[in-house]
Amino acid sequence: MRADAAGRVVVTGLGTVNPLGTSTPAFGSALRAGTCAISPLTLFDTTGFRSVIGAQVQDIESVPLPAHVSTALRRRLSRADVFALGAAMEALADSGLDSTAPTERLGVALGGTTGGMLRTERCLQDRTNDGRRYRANALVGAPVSASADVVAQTLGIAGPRLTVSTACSSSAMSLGIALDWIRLGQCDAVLAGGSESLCATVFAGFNALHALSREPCRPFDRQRSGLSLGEGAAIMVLEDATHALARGARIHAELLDYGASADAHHLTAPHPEALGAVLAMRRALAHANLAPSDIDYVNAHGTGTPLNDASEITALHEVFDAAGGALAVSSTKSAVGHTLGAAGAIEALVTVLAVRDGFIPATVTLDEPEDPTLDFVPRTSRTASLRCALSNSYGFGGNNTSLVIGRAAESTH
Amino acid sequence: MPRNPRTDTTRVVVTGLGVVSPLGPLPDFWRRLTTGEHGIGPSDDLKTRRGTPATVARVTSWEPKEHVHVPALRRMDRLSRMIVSATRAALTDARLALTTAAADSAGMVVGTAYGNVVETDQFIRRLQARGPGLANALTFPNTVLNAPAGYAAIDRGLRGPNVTVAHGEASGELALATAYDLIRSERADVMLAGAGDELAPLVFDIYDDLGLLSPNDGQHAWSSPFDRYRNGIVLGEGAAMLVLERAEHAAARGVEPYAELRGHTAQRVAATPHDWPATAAADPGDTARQLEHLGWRPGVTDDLVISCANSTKRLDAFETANLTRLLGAAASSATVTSLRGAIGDFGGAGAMSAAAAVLALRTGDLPRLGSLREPDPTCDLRLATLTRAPPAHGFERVLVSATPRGGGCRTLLFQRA
Amino acid sequence: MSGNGTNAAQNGVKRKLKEILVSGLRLHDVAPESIADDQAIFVDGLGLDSIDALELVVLIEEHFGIAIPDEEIGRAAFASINALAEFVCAEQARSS
Repeated sequence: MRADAAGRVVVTGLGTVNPLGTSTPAFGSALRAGTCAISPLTLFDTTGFRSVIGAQVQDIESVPLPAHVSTALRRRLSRADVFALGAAMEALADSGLDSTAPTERLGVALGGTTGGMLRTERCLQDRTNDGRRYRANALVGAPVSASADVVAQTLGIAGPRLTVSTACSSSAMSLGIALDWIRLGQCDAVLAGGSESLCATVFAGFNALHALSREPCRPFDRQRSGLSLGEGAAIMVLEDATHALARGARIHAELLDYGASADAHHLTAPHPEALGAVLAMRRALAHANLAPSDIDYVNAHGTGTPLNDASEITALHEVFDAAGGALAVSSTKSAVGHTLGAAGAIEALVTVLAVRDGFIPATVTLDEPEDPTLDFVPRTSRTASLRCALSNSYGFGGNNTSLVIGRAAESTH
Repeated sequence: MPRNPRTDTTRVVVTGLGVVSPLGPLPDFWRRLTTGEHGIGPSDDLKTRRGTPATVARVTSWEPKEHVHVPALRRMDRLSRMIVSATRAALTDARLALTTAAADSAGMVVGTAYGNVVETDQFIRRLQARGPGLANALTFPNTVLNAPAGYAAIDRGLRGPNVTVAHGEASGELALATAYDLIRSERADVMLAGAGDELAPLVFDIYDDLGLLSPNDGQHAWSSPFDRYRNGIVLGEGAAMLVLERAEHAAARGVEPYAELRGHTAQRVAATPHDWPATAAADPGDTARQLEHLGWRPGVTDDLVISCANSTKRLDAFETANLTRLLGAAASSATVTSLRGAIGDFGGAGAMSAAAAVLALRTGDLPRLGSLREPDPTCDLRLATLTRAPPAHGFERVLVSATPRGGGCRTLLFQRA
Repeated sequence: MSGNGTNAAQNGVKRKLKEILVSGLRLHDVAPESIADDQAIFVDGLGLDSIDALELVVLIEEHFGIAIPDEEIGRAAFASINALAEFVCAEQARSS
């Protein structure tokens, strides 16, 4: 780390629960191995849907939660709450932050879209099945903001809390806002990320839009035919660099800055010239004081739908063609599916691992790139020394977010 | 190289307001708040569990077609229409006609507790009754919480950061705080910030089943924060959007702000995730410290506090204890009020409190507790009764306070620009 | 060409299609009678887009029991009320 750590924000803890692993080391191994977690879903009945596959967390009972969480409390938590709490616990432990110390300076910033919808839809099924009176009070934990409350109250975190819900870019935006909190002096550290649970309602929505792929999604492939939904959570400890250095924390990577924009075009279709995506990337680079040539890797939004991937390719050319250097681009959604409100954070965590460990995760289902002039890292991950990377997320409603993640500089002591 | 926001002296001001409320739009909204009127009455469509008409505060005097481009209107759900209407009104009020370049750095933060519940509920009903093959493609995009912010950005061509936040009953306050942070972090010069929530049968059923509502036994329920005989919530709905602007940006275009948003605070109070804190947990120590850091000490100036008190035994008691401690000696001189007796309670109501705060600073008047029959004898606060006069020279500062379920408390501090 | 009976059937279908379009696609300010039979439904005509098309497929299935198997057929059928009515009547004749 350079001597001047003022205003810099680093990543000092990592935690995740996702279809490829219920811990960060497990996830990292699966990424390197090029595993795809997309397979037939068992969480709900998929009869009558165009597609029956997705990326499901297989063993939620095995997710470790804090010891003081009773079985009764665990049962009341939503699926998304459990993912979030598990990931938060791993991240906090990984960071070495002393959670018994005063924690008004530690905040929680999460992203998500459906919250407790899985329980809600089951509750509403009672209403549908025989019209009998349903217990609406069972839905009190349903709002997407519940997970932040659960994490804060369970882990005793007293700083500010926030839930962002901007569809597929939710937890990229929550990471960005957490960075701003730290720079503005509101927090020394933030548990930042997102959580999302699969549910029949959202599956049906994408099904109705004909957006689901019958086979595991194939981002950037000529034969791509739609997205595959996934679920999970990722949470990082973002920390003021001076604070982290002072306590001798291990630094995974640096969150250099971010850029955000709106397409202001259409609620579901991306802008034809990818205007919003380009704006987000350019803003991110400008705020981070970087040029396109400083970026070695882009973790793309890459859903595998014909429209999104084409638009994203346009955006990448617009921003990076002039730079001329070797740029690798890959989509994690090929491995864990589209985890919606958790995607920004899960994919940012992948980018941190990539930068930290010097490898580029593959687009695991890619055979025939739509655009052969771009390097989409098909099938196999590779070793690479990365200086800086971008992680992009584009949401329904047109919120675009680009995070800039850089390798932690060599320690100076 | 961006300036370090920590040492930055960027000030954020409020230059425009747009309101869609149970008291009507501006100027009716403000006038009726000051005269202690309320927008509560029997519902045409919502029913209690016992089959009687629900008592609610419905949006009134609002015709979407007058506010929103009609062809765009058809896809929008009702909450989105409210947010888009309020956004347009706020931009007009701010006299901010955005060129394409300016719109690039104008963004939005919208807060909501539940989002578009009505259409989400419809989508689920149909899906469960008819199967996946007949689910509505048209409805699904509206079920994301950020649909209103998306529609508003499309309507006005706003390409700055576009964020939707959710924090239960503090969604409005959180939206204002987030927009403030984004301007101070140099991510935009102008941010539309506000919140909205819509009355929906599903939400009504949840509150009813939890026993939170004012009973409706043959007479209309009523909402009277801080009242000795208060007996529960009356649900409301609406949307309010404020134009937040970097002070220099507003000055450069010769616009006089309503007020300055001096800053915000956050404090955790012990509470289970799904309930309000108990009175015993009242201890605004962190809030007091953070407010002092923003240059505010109670009693030094003429202050108004717009509380989130919502006519429940539990929350109003907590607010009473918390505010009494926060204000200290100034509890006898600062004026305390709440809007929930007039507009009902809903997640985004905090944005209406923010709108009322800046109107109080501009006009020198205050929202009054018109439904108050008898103040709770345990409440030592100087309440905004119908006969309460404002300070001779108006208010210097207004504090908006939010205590949501789950205990993630928030305040906003406004002061004269 | 078609005889009187089929014309009456087609006119009935056209009327229903216009009602479905207005109510199902939320065209609240458009009177069904004001939609011309040969008017383009998509793009310039009524300003409908691809999501409306998906919704329309569902509405046709729900009201007429007819599935539209692929996008090619859908695109041709959705050209105008006339085209859609012809398609619906032809499918109904096939299955009866």
